Amino acid sequence: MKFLFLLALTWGLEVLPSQGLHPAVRLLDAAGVAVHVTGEPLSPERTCGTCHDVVFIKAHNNHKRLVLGWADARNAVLTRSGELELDCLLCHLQAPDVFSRADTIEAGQLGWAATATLAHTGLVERSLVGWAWKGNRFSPSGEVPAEILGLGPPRDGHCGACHGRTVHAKEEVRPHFDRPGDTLSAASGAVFSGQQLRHGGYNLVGRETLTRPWDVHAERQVGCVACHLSPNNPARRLTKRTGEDANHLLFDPRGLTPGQYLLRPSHEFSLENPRSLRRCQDCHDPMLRHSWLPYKALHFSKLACETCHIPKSYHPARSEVDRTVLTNHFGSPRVELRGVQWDLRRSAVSPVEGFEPILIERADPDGQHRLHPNNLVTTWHWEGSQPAGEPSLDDLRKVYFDGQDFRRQVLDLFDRQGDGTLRVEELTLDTDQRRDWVQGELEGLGNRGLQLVGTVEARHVSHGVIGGSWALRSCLECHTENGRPGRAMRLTHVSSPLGRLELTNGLREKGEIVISEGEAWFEPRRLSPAMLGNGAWAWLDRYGVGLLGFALAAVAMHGGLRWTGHRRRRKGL
Amino acid sequence: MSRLTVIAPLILGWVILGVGTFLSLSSEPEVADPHDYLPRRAVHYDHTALFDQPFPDGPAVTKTCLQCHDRQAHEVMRTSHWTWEKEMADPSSGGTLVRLGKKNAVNNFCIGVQSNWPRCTSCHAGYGWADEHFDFNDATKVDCLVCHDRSGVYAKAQAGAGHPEPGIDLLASARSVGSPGRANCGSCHFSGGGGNAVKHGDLDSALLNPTPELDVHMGKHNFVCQDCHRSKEHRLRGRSFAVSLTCEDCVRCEDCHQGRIHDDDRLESHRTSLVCQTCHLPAVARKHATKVSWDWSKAGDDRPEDEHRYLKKKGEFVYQKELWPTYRWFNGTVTRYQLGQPVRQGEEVSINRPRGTMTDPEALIWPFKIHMAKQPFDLVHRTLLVPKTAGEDGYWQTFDWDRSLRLGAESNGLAYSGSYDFIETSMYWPLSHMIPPAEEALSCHDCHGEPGRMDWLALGYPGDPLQWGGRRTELRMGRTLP
Amino acid sequence: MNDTRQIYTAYERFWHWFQATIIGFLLFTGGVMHWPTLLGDRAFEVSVPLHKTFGLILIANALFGLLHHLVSGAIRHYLLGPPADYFSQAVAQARYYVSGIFRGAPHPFERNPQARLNPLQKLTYLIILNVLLPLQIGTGIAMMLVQGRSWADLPDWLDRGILTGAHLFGSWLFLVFVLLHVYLTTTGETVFGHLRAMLTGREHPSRTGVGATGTVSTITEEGP
Repeated sequence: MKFLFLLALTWGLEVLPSQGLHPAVRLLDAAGVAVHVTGEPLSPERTCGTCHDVVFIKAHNNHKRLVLGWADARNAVLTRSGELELDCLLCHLQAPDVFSRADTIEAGQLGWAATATLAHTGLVERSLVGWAWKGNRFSPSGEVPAEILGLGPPRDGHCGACHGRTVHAKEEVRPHFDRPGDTLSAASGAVFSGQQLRHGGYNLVGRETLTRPWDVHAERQVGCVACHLSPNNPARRLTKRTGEDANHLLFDPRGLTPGQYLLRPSHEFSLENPRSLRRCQDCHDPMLRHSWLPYKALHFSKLACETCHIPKSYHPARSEVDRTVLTNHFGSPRVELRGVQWDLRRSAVSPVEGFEPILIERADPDGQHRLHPNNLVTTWHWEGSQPAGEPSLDDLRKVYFDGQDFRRQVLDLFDRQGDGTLRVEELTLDTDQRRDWVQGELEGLGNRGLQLVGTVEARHVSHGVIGGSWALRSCLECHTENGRPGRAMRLTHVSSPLGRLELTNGLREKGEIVISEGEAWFEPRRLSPAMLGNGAWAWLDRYGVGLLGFALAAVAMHGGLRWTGHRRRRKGL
Repeated sequence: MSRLTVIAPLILGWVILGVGTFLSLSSEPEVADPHDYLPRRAVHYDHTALFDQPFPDGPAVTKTCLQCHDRQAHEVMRTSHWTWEKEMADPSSGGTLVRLGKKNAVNNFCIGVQSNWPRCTSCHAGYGWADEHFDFNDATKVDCLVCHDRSGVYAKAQAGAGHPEPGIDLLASARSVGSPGRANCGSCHFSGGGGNAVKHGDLDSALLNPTPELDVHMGKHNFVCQDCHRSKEHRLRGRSFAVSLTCEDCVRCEDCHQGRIHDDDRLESHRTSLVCQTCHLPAVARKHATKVSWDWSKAGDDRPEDEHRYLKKKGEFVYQKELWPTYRWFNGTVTRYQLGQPVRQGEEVSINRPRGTMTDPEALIWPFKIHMAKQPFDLVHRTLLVPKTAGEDGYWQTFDWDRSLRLGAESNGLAYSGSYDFIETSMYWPLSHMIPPAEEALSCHDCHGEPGRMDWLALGYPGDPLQWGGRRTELRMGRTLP
Repeated sequence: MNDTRQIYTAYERFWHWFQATIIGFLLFTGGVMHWPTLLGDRAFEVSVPLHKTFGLILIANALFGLLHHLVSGAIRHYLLGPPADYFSQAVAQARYYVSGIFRGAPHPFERNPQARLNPLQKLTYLIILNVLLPLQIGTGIAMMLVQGRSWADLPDWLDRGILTGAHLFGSWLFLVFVLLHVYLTTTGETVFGHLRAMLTGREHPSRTGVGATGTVSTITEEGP
């Protein structure tokens, strides 16, 4: 459960005075009766649904299943009893108890999950059946004052509870190196914090020189919701018109009133929805600056802003997720991280050097193909020929575990160090013997046609933005023979399982896998030969040099002959 | 038409085109190097060979100095280091001229000099100001050594009215004279208020040999005081708002840091509302704690003493280290309490309240150390009182408030009714020293995050200007500065 | 000095040397852009706008030069003349360069202010000034113009690879031309005779070769 604990740690409990407008709330159960009367679990849908259109919200929501899905989603607690409701409190409560909620779900008490979120408010306490309401905190009519709940818009910490590290500038960024479900830090190596890199708890190499913040937007108080906005929020309306009919208008002021919005707020924060995401150009005009850059417009048509403004990610990010092994009986895969030099104990003080994202072409909404920074993650898994395809988590558990302990055969097979315990580094199918044994065991459980495959996918790096002298400015970063645009990124580790690597759809035309000295690398496709200085014209240069050399030789010979002829004539004749 | 008249302008044209193009290529605005504006330091003249006889006392040394430096003595005598007062126009009374200075001002530390001369005047740049009859026209009484001694042996006696400690080798001191170093200025200015680091917050003995992190000018670049507090004819630039009322001849960062400072537009735009120190001085008293409150009313008790908590002579104090400033608008003038002014019931008595508001175009937000004190005042006349603390019959010997206040009032020309109490006063100390390197400056969240350092409402903003708009852009609500 | 005659006008000389200098700058800045690591970051950053500027200056100079040649009639020096005559003259000139010159044979072509260029020179300069230079200028301008647009606007065939490749190829040819041109100026009556002529505008009349009519003769016209 340590990752849950760590998860909770990242939730900085900011005890701030509640300044919201939210009225007092009657907490209701699924039948619509006040909970302090019935003692039943809280139903957010009934409670919040008193004023907010829950049907609309559920229909326009891409946070559907707020399950902490570090385990294989298909085998998650959905199979257990009870139903997990949409938990509004997770994002809108001032200090949600993420830990207690996860705990409660893990224990199978799905119905109590939302109630558990309230643990920090003092309205509930744990009981034998789940949770019990403390009646003295409620008014006679069953209302809870708004200040206790502190309901309001999500803060960075709410998003960070799941998506990655968002650290309040005054907290210390304490290291933890991986968390499932993390789409920000573990996926792309970014931390959304205004704190200077050197002030955090990571043992960053060259720390004292890193006087820059993790992310300049976080530093400047631009929070998550400033750019990841609800598509119909009138207060944060994108001023750009998208797909409206009246072409004579720059802006249509007839929008939703705040009240209308609060009744039916869209929760669609999907990146594909153009109205839910602000992009760089929605606030910044790059042509107003960058006067030092020759051929500005050309650069901006070929490079995404992030390419130069996220030159390096300083948080270790996943390079491999190995789902062919289980590191504990909950089902955690083995994870390799990029950008950290693990010491022997894989400890929190291991030196962190960060990594440079790889530049891969991507089609932007305006139709241009630009280079964007990415992290590449290889996910190792078994592919099977059954309808289910991949073997289930339960099957894998049966292969590796006997209850909560590793099976005897697993210990014998994997314990290289011979110390009777299995460390994460030891759990890998890096020899034929280990792989074949596991495959045999899985086949014994009914899985057929198994192949060990590593799927390589690109995760876009969008945070960790920096400006000023920290952004890329030297032409030679790109305009040289091994400049950033063509630079390869390492995919596998020495201890990677023996499997077949394959690129996901998005990467197939963008480059190829190259094996060099036993390691696999992804090499992006050779760039336009028109880019200055990237060595694409070496072949033509060879002809040119040849021609020049030939001319030089001819000149030397011709001149030489003339000279000797002249001398001979002067002497001889 | 001769060929030359055709060719020459053609060639000239190309040359101009070429040179012009080349020059226009450089698009980076030149940032002036602050080092270019440093004053030139004086060349040292070694005085070792000039003196061979020991000196009996301070004035004897001065007499010798005057043999060559007579003019300089008179220069000093025209400055406030000597006179301890200056005539200034009081901005809060429409420019009425007042003579104000350490000589006759009241503060909320040791309160007042008059009647306490030998102790207070131990920091006078002269010898022998033991009472109100000191001859300010006697050039032989100027103390040259306190500023010019470079040996480090020179020290003034603690209650010696400016005379040096007995037993000091004045000959060695005289031989060592040169341009002042930080130790010279600091011998008095670091221990204002009766001890090291008590008064200013940003001036204490840590600046004798500061690390670059403590003070980037004095630590990293080894600045001496007069590099910024430039002197001309012994008149030093700079104003102390403990006694001054206005900012003529103030030292400013812009004296050396000229033009545009920050590459970043957002940072540069803060200069319309903030003075440099506000961001660049996150905390003072980083090595030695400074006094932030002084309760005189608790003095006279026989409880255990602690230099940083309680002294029988002085009362209760609170010291603080790593002190965060308080931020207020300041336009370079203060409203100063002057002796004899009545204080109104229930009003906060501020000895030197900084003037300025958000709408005052001359005002910027400055960082201040605020010192709170409870000091004696006359219940009937409602004026602050200056107690006689030092010397015979002083409070520090008699522990008799009534007696000390009566004696002090006589000396200061105040009426004393016999009935006194203690009133809370505040004093504002603008902070400018102990500037750390630029990467230690405040970051956005320090003021604009929650909780932030700035009290927006107290500063006159409706809320955080990041959301509400700043003083020049309060115009998100449609208002502009006059 | 008395027996020298004017062969190049002041403007022609200026134009020639100016063109040479600009081409030198262009080759240099082009080299910096093509091999960025040689001189470092600042050199690269500065060379990009400099190359553009010099290119524009070159265009102006070339246009002025063309104007001058047309107005003054100097264009005639470059015209090849009737093909039959031209062909035999060109062959004779070529023979001189590959064998005659080693034996000290007289120049087959008599140079005079009315006919300055031998047949091979005419052809070379014609190609240089009407094919290679326009190619460089054209590809250069095209590369410069497209900087303000997105590639989505331009037709597929105009891939910048073609522009860059052609521009690079032309640069190599120009470099080779410079080498050969400098060397071939030494093939006059005296080694530095042509150089001096381009500097001062004056040269000694040639002692051998053809007159304005273009016929070959081995008879010396002047006495010893």
